[in-house]
Amino acid sequence: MMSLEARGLSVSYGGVKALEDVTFSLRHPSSLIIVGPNGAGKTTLLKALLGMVDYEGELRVFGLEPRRDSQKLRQLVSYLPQASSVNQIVPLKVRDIVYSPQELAGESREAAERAIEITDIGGLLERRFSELSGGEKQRVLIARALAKRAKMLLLDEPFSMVDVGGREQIAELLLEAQRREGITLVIVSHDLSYFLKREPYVVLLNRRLIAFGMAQEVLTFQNLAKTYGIAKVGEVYFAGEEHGPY
Amino acid sequence: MDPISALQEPFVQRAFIAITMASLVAGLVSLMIRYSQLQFLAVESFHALVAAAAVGYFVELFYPVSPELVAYLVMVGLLGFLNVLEGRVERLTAIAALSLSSATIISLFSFGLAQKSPFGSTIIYNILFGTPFLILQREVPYVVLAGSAMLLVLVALWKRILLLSFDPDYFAFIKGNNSFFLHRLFIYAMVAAAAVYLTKITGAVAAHVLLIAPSLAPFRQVSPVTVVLYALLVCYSAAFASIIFNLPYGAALGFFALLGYLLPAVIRRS
Ligand SMILES: Nc1ncnc2c1ncn2[C@@H]1O[C@H](COP(=O)(O)OP(=O)(O)OP(=O)(O)O)[C@@H](O)[C@H]1O
Ligand SMILES: [Mg+2]
Repeated sequence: MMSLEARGLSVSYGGVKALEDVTFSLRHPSSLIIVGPNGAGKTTLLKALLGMVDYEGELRVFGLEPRRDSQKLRQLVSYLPQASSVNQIVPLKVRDIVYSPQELAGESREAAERAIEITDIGGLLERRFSELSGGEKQRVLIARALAKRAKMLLLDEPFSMVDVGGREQIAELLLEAQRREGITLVIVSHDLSYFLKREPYVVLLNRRLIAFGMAQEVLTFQNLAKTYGIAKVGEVYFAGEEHGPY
Repeated sequence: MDPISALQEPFVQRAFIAITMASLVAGLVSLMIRYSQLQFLAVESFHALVAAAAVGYFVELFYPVSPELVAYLVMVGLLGFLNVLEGRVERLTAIAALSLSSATIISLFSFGLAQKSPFGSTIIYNILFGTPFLILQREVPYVVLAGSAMLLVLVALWKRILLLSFDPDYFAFIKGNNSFFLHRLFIYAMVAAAAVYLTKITGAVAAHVLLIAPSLAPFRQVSPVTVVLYALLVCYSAAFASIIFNLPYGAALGFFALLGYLLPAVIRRS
């Protein structure tokens, strides 16, 4: 079964194209890492897949058309928005946040309980979100994403605010959840080194699709240079090199 | 006037009922404004508020409709206009456009009021600086009912309001775009309702203070309880001060609201 199919996908905001003519497809279950510089349209691509923005071209998620079948689609996917969308003035406790799919969408409580176990945040439930460390915050938001049953999990920069040790932990946790539940993972991340051993698919994006394929085929010096512009390549290439032959 | 004997007076009792309701509504709505980061809107709501009230009382001169209802509809219209603009231009531009259009409406309709009604200038004065001591006996049930209805709705939806404000993108994902839009609209409608309600009780100048001041007070813990307590204390002190010293209610309210800002700072220093 195909989890994602995009053909000639474009999204514009007020006449300016944030995504242009993007084509790729993905089997279920598998993992996909979306890589690209700031403003490349990564978040926009996730929002299009979720039916949260208007798009042109063809798009199918589990055979559904996101904009038209958004209600059905919401039952099949879960989502972690980019952490910068969170407003920490709001005095919510961790418990309220993790149980938001239960409060807002009538999800089962077991799903939340299991998410709490997987992310190991049982000890944080009564704490204020704003008072947690960056890594703890990110684990709570991942727990909220896992607290909703889904065949596909879309995560927008799950490593932001997390230190190197924490990243490894979170990557393990996500891959473990994927293996156990047989879900498709779609992850936007600047740091894909932790996922490379599972041979994920990679989308290199800079408004247009630069390359799509298995990590080892796609992550070439040339492609990364094209995606990021030469200046940043050393850094990114190095991050990949550390963990494998790519 | 001596405050103890003043409390026996029915008009004073009515005022205290009204400001109690006003404090509860103002506390929660100002907190909602803070959480949903609509402070700009609240600050700018003043022009819209006066414009709405002016239109309401002007229309009442010709048609037998409640000026509060008309004011509410105008207020929703103006905030809706802002909402539409916000998607198209910069936020500050949208707010400036709201204030310009409101200023035009205020000027036109207050002029109309002064021309068409022998009490025109009194009405305008009351819109701006009204006082809870002018609430009529027949208005008390409406004040209590409308206030309780707003409180009930706010309490029932409180958790949702918090979750929406905490992570709008997640809320939009889990409820869908339409539901997200309706919830945002609800928050705007609630601000409009509270603004008109508070204007009815305290006049627009003080209502504006009450929409903003409570949730921005420099407390260590900002919560529904502290914010409502602050609003109650300020409103009650202002009422007593205006009885004892014969001050206009708005002036007393402004003074005590400011005192509530300065005291925590002074206490923390010493
Ligand atoms: N709601 C919006 N209205 C207008 N323009 C937008 C909107 N959202 C995003 N954009 C623009 O679209 C482009 C792509 O944005 P997007 O958020 O998808 O980038 P991104 O790859 O996720 O970047 P980052 O790494 O910084 O998160 C940017 O130029 C951005 O300014
Ligand atoms: Mg992004």
